[in-house]
Amino acid sequence: MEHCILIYEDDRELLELCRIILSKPGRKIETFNRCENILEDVRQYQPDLILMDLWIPEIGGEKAISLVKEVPENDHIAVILFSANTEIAEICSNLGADDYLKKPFDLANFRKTVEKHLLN
Amino acid sequence: MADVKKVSEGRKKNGEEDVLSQLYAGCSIIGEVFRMPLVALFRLDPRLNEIANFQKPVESPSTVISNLQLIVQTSSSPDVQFNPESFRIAPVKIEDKLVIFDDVLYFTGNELGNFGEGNEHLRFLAVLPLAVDKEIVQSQTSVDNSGSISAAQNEDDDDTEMHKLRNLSLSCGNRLLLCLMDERPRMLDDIQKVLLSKMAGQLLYSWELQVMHIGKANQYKKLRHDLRTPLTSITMLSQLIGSMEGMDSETQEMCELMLKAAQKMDALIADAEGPA
Repeated sequence: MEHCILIYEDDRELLELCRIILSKPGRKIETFNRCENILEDVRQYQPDLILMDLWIPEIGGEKAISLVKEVPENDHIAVILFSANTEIAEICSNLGADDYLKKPFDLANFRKTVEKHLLN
Repeated sequence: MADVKKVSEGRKKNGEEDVLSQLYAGCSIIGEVFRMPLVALFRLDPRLNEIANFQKPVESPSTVISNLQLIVQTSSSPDVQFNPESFRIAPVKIEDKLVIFDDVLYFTGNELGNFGEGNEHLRFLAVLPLAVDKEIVQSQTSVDNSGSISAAQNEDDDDTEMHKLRNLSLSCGNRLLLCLMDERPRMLDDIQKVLLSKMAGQLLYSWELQVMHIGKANQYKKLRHDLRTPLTSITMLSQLIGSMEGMDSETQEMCELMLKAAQKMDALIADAEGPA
């Protein structure tokens, strides 16, 4: 079964690096540096997992995730937030996101967190 | 801070003595205080009491401050959460990063004893800075069936004001300004005019300084945040290259050095933030 991951991050280098690290056969990865069309993206790609940076242009990661969570059909989609914000744990809990990665995160933790939520 | 800008321009154009008439028509600023020194200010210069023309003497102006501090809870922690649902709501407006309570006496109510009685022409105006990096949400956004985003309008103005203040963070790292306004117009002598102009100038300067301070602090916070994103790339790249198959020991060693440097930089950023 093919997994689909959507990654939202405004830093293009980190976005590309995340794509390289997570790429492997049987996995589809789509990257975005803006998030205002997230509902359309979700409808189009039907992802299993969303990786969302909190500080992202236009509506911001928090709003984008809350929009996704408002739609009952999206309940199965796992959401991992990443940010340097010191309050990320609280934000994650308030948004009903599944997990978070505090920047700067390392490779092993990044891989482990993504794998865990794809397996679930 | 439109009013401050307007007044600042007016000051340049017309001279300091015209500041008051432009700032609040028919009102006089009769005291400017920064937290506790209200008592000192009144005691230091008895002419202020004379200008204020109280019907009843201000025997304990510190009561005003202590009550205000109690109510907004700005006396101890650096950043406090202000939950207006626990308190009575005072008329309030928010300009830039400052929360302005138009009438503190209304806010404090009977807790000030009988100070307000007979002194109805007096109005305490309090200016509180928002905590760094805190924004006030003006409206809720929602999504309709077509997936487009729209702003939800709140029809009740009072509720909107309540909403603005909900979970508001006030910072007591910055100074609280309390101004005593006399809304009763009257003739002032030259000394009084000069005194009032000086105080008005100080007040405006303080407001502008606070807005600037909050702006700078937010800039530094954003910079620290922004540094951690490329730091994440450096951290993961050094680990990715160092763990590649067939990599020679010298390259692996260099990757480890790069990783240590990135970790050191993260520690420096954390130090600049202060204790968590």
